[in-house]
Amino acid sequence: MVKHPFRENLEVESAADRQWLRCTNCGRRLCALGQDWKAAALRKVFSPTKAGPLMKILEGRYLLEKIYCPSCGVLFNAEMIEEKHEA
Amino acid sequence: MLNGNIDPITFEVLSHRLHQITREMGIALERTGGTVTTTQQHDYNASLYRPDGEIMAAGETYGHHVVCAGFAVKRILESFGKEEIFPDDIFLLNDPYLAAIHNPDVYIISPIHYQNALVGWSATFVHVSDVGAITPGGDSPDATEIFQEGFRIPGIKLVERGKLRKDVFNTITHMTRQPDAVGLDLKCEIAANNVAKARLQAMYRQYGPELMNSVSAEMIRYTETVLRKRLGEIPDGEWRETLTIEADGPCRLVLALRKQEDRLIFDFTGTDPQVRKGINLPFHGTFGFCFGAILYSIAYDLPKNQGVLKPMEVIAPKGTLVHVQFPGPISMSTTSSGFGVGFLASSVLMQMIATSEKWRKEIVAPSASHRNCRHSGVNQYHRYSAFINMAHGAMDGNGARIDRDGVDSGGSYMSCPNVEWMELQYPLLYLFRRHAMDSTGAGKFRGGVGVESAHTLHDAPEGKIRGVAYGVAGLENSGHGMFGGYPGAPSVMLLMEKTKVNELLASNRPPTEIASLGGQERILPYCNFELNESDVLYMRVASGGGYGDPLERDPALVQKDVANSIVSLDAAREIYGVVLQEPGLQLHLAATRQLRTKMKQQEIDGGEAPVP
Repeated sequence: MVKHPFRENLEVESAADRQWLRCTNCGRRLCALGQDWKAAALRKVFSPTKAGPLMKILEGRYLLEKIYCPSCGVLFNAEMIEEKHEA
Repeated sequence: MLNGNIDPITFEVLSHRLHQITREMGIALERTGGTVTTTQQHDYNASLYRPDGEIMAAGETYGHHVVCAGFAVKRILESFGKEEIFPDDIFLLNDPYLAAIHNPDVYIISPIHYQNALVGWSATFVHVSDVGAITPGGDSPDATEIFQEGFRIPGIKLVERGKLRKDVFNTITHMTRQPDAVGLDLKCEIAANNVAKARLQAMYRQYGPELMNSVSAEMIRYTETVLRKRLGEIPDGEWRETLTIEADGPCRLVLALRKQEDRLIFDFTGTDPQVRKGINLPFHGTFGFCFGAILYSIAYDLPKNQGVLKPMEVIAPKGTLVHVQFPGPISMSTTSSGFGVGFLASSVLMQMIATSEKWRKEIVAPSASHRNCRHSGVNQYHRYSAFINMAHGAMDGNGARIDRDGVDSGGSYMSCPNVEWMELQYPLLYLFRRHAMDSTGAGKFRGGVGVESAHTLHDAPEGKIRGVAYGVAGLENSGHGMFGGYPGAPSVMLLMEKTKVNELLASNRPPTEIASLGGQERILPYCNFELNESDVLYMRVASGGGYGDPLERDPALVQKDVANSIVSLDAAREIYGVVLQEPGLQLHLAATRQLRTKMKQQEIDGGEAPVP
């Protein structure tokens, strides 16, 4: 049973007295609510210029991180992260 | 939901009339102000308060100043006591360690009496042109403690029983580089407070103290009740955000928002210690920026008053960037950590309302603000100005929403004068001021496009003017994307020294491309600098963050953006996967579908090599 949305393409599902995060697009259950859903998803990093030519100034310090559903590939999140956190 | 003792129609009429008083105060400031900052850029606030300092009716501009002026009223009450506060007194306070956010934002506060009883307060601030700090205009990158940041007044009577205290007025204005301009701004604040007093007293005469006191109390109760009900409809949870500002090294702001039933707890634990650079924010400023974020997200349609504050709690550890301890410097705090806190608070609130089917339509991708510049110097009429605010933040692109693009150059808070007006007043020549191509955060709905500009000296008698680089320095400023949307391009300020600008102008070649200017470039951190003959200052403000996956954007909208020079042809293909063909930028739908499928697969498969 769906309880409420969590963010774009992710929703909270209540089942058996527990709450789960699942993909809105394909229904894939990612993890229990409160756990690190990003760790349960598909994660890729790219050069910051993938987000546009004016992002060149970020090169060497930031990366573009994108998080997808591991089943259907729908995009959950995209953000610049500091490269040092990637090391 | 309204208290049964008050007729709802009377409540509506009086509630709106009280808010209209704050608008009229603003008009008085705009029409009588002594500087461009007040009259054209609208860097001011005007609000009404209850006798104890609770917010009765907030003005239309800065939410954070509404809160801080309320603290100022309370400080005046504490330091003078009701027995020393008389009808027609007016007080001045600008101490950031008591209530203001930085010294140039001077609060003028007026008690309002009816039949000799204190029935309320009015308060204004304007950003005066100078406060006698180490740097003209007040924002002082070189200051390492508050003592270098200008006069700091903990509360003084500027007007006593209706009579201006000339000795006090002259003492204050003579501590500044521009006594006349500062004096005009102080008097415009007095004028606005006089408007408030006359209007509120007229309402008390018309409706009587009992009804007026009941209505102002009910406005607060109503706002609190509705806001708590809204919060109760949203699932409990915790959301986090961070922001790094560069000030002699990275300075990290951290916020966790905990929503528990009908309460909001903003917890800044983990934020870095305060620094010896004026980006530190006083606690009441942090509180005020959180208030503003709530006001603009889930309370925008409610009477704007103390009721918004009631459900919120702010935890800001002492000695950090968000709770500076004396005598830490604060002169650049509003536009650095202040806007940073505003961004953090907005971001966590947006994440929170995303969990509510009812409220998620209100999501706006948040912005971490921009760089900005102020100049000082002698203009073409041989007059000195301590404070020439370029105010380009008023042309930031706004964040995308769940169902539409962000507003192009929609700005925030202030207004920006047109180019011709700036050139008329100051020794500047704009080379261009325009939307910055490819700056907007891509997404299913893109962010609003921000503005880029370049200016040089023109007819400057001294051959130079000074500059101050401030705002949110670093690479995490600008709009942030939401749920797959990309961020806007970072806001930058670039000083280009010894360029060919004058040669290009002399040969009738328009210097509208940065690459054609030559010279030595440097990105400005928080600093003072000089703009000399043949130097050019390039500025790009924030662009809005996108919402959702750029590969899901309607190709026809991308086509339109390319036609309007908001998105380049290359970016249309490489970011949005949209194939446009010349002549006429025809949209090739089949090729677009094919390209998007291929791009998505490459991303998922790791086909694009991750950066090592």
